[in-house]
Amino acid sequence: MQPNPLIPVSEFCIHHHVEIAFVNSLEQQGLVETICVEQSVYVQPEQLPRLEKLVRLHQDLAIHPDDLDVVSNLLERLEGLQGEISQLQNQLMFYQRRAD
Amino acid sequence: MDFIDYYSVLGIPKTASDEDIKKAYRKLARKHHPDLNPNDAEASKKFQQINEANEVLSDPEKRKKYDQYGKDWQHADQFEEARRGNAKRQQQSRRQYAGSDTGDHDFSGGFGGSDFSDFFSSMFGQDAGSRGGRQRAQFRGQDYQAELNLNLREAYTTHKQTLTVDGKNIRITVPAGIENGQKIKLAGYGAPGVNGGPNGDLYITFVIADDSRYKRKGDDLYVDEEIDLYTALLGGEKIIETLDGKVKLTVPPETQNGAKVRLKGKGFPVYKQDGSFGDLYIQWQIKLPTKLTDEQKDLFRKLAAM
Repeated sequence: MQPNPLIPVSEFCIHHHVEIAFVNSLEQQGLVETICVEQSVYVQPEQLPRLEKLVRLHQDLAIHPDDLDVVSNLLERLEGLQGEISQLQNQLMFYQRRAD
Repeated sequence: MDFIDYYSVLGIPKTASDEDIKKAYRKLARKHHPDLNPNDAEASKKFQQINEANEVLSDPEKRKKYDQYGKDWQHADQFEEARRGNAKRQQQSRRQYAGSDTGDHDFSGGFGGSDFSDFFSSMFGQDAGSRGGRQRAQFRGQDYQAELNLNLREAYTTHKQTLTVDGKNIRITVPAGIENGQKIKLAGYGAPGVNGGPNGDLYITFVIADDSRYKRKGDDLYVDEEIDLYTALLGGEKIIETLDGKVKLTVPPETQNGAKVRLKGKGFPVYKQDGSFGDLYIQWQIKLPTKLTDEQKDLFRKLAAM
């Protein structure tokens, strides 16, 4: 029998010491996706890193759930800019190598 | 094993209240939290220290022990005795836990391994951070994204490239036939995990610059080749340069402008399929003669009148 890959939100909340309302709030803000199967709410494994990151930001830094959206957007922009810098550095290396 | 002054890590005096500790922790954690500082190994290290300091100072029992032995730990016989006693208790505790899954762990696999400094472990034992009290934070390291620029001729052969990521040189083998935009993952080459979490991964995207001579479509190559009018009309031979070397082609008489010839197996290598190649398509571009002499013009007129 194949194990069920979905993780019940209730189990996740118990494990991470967060209220189910917290996950609901993230879902309403569009920060994570949950799946409802036969009246039980589940989270998909691929959503876990993102969800756990939001839990850490909330628990470690006391960021209000309503503010996580802003923080998350800024972090995505930051990561995008870092990627751009990395790309430009590699391009520079490429052209320097060609010039040598 | 260096002594770590947890008070100075949090920037608070020894007389700090629980509220002061909490405030100082929050302030520093907001600055150095790994989730807020992606791809920053220094911030991750700093956050580990802050977390460790908070773990000790926010727990009255641990703080008392730290205050008592922390300063002179290297010379305190009493501390050594306490440590040995602690080790004995840990052994008993491990026996108790053997065979049961009681440790904290993330669903995504972030928990496990050593989280705190040697100093912390010496003071409070390996398991001190994980059992009881506040749940410790462990993180998988950030994934890194990098781009590697190649030209078409470099992508034609399997070769080695050195990439600098986060100050580290990583040497990779680039297989022949890699595609523009293709992404590969180097597991564990991302940012180091925090508090014993696993390392992130490194994703490399290959950017292959356009070539002035060849156009690539999948594994096939396309090239425009010029021939003169007389060879196109009467036929002849033409030496063509391919990425694999020179080949001699027979041009049939009355070859039309734009006519194509396919050279099987002379295209681009198929990715990770040794000995397998795409095709090379040659499109003839007929070059008309210029600066004709009067005699040549006369002959063309005669031809036109025939």
